[in-house]
Amino acid sequence: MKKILVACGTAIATSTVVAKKLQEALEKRGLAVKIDQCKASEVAAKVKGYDLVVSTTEVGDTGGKPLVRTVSFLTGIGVDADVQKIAKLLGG
Amino acid sequence: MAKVTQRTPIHDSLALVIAPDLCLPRLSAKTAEEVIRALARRLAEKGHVRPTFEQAALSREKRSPTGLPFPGVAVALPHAEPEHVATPAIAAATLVAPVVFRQMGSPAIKLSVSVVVMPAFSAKEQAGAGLSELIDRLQDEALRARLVSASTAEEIADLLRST
Repeated sequence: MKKILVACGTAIATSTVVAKKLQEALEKRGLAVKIDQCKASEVAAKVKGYDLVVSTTEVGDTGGKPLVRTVSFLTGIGVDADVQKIAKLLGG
Repeated sequence: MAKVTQRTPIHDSLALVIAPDLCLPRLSAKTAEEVIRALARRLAEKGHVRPTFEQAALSREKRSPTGLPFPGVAVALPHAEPEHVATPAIAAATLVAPVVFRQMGSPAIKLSVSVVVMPAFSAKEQAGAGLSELIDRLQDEALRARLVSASTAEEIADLLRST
């Protein structure tokens, strides 16, 4: 199963919302993924073992893993395009 | 790092944490900082957050801004870490004139924000559920239009907790 790391500023609320909406959207496309959350500042240390990073905020080193930076899951604008991009990056 | 689990029913729905006495209608402010301070102080006065919340929210906003470019009405969601929260609540303000917040994820972008909602959650699970609910409301364009013109505290609270 593909693994996605979702990052936000504090890893409290925003990333939870993004993770939930992303999971639902990918499931609709028949893609089962495992999603974990962390703070943007923790990405470099935690990214190993993940296929993709999705962040609402700026992140530094993603260890060569693709990064999708977006607030579409919060504003509801551009969600489909982002889901498509993420699915493609995951090879789905 | 928390695993994403299935959605569990949370009894602390928004209806319980948004009260009119935490809503500031037609607040007059010149900067994002003034709005953040006013909302944090109201939350502190009502005993929902510790005195450290205000500074923590200001620092967090600088480090990781919370402006969201909803079409028509940009909204900011300044907040602080759970350790600064005593009992969960959400405060909100509508502004007489927009103030500048930086966009979440793209701090170079300045947004003219006219609605500011400040969630204060003390636990991660509750924060996720509460913010999810809030975001779902804010994605409703008609609700945003009504919110931006809300002129009483009751109106703001009703709109944010309406289902």
